[in-house]
Amino acid sequence: MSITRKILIKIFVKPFYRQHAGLFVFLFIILFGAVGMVDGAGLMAFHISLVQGMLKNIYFLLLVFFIWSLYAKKTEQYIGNILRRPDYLFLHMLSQIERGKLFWQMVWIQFLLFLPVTVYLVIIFAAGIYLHVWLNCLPALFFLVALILVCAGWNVYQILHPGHSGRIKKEIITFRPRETSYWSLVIRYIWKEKKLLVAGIKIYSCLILYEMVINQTKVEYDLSMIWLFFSFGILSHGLLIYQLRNMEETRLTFYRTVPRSLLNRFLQYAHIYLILLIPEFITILILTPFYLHFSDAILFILFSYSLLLFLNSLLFIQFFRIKDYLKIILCIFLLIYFCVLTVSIPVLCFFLFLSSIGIFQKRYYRFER
Amino acid sequence: MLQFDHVTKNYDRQQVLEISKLELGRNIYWLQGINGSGKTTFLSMLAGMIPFTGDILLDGINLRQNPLPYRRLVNFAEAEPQYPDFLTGTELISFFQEIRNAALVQIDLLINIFKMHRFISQPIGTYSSGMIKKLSLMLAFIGKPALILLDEPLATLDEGSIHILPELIKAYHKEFNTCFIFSSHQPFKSYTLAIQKILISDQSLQLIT
Repeated sequence: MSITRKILIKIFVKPFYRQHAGLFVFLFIILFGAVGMVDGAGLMAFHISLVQGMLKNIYFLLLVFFIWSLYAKKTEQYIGNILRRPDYLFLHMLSQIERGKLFWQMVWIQFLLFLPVTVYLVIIFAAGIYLHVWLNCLPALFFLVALILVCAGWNVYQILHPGHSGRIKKEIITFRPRETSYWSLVIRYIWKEKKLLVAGIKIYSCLILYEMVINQTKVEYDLSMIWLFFSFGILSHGLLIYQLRNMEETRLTFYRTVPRSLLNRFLQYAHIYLILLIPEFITILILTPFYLHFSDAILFILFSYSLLLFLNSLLFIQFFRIKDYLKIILCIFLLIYFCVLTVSIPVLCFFLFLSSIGIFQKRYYRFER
Repeated sequence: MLQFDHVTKNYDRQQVLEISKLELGRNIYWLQGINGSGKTTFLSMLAGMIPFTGDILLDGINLRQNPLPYRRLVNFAEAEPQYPDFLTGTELISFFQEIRNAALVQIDLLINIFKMHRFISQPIGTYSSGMIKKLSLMLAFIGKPALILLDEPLATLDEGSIHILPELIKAYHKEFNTCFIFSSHQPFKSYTLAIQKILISDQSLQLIT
């Protein structure tokens, strides 16, 4: 293997999988671990019917393509971010490699980044052969190859045109202030740079809540399992919160020096997470009161809000390494499990709210990364 | 008046700074010391960015006990400032202008002085390191702070801006009686500024008169 390829794998591929290990484990659990007996069928039958639906229903296939495109956007964003980082400026050397060679290097990198999708494509082909519809698998293969080539091409363009940003606007003479608040800065960061992650989390948490709640019968109204699956979705916000705090500690450090009271600073976060939870709140409102009792709806809202505030405050105790933070999240999940079993979710909400305020108050000014 | 009372700073149990007693008047101070001597740590502590033990008081206001009133008096420009790429200079300046209650006339003046018209409405992601540095310096001069801290203010600046800075420091010191503490490895060319030097070595500060 050439030294260039080795370095590229070290820079682009290994950190990508390290950083997204949690997401892949989560998807694996959802696709394989969480599937039990579906209408009497097992895991194998579930996946074969899934692939069958994909190969025989064009809309389903388009949905799969859409999800793959989101993944492609994710890899593109990931590489683009690395290329813009000051500590990776030396990568401009890549522009000295002959263009065709560079393109194939990036195709190889993209292929490695797309491995999870490729593995799933192999499964699709295996199922296609089993179902005697393997020809129907070809569009999926072509689409994946096209995605890899397009992403590689775009990466080459980014390498050859660093900092490309379009036209320069006309000179302005008088300064016109613009309304800018801290919470809006963070929300804009999420919108600009984390929309894929947010979309993934929201799709999961809202869909799981909606689907599981409407499948409840009025006779057997039991929310225990829903609590567990929903809390999994809310806890997955931890990844986003971690990245937000990381961004704050690198690009919004100035905020620590501005004259804002501690209460005001806490309210900024309260504002951010209130906005972030709007999709879940809307889903809960849609389900209430027909499928969900008022008291449960309020509890779901309080639970998700207090949990996000708590996850945020935790990162003021210490900027944990991501794996330690994920371990803490797992412990919180076990605590939630215990509270679901003992029907003490309201107590948990109260505890999370008070702890988040207490930790923030104690730790904000003492925190140092 | 800036007062230090038994101030210490540790990183992983390793002491990097110890200031038992020190008082600094409202003057202009050039912080000097070799790499790793603790200049940035000292300025970050003063700005309230990192925790420490002991007390720092500015005009009698204790940083740890009254973080809000203290922060109203202090502005800080980091050595290697970083801001979100998607924000424009205009937005960031607006943010500071609102918080610092600064007059728009002052903002216009600073934009003119730093010659930032051309790029101020562009996203910061398109700025060069020099432009980001200018922006961070400009932000430090917004309002009427009692203390302005500048960490390596001359690094990455163009020749024109290097000459502007001493003039601006002089003007703020005269107009608002602002105290300045800056660190710089580059020679600070000004014959009209009365600069006092503070030397950081062996984890302690020494005022050179």
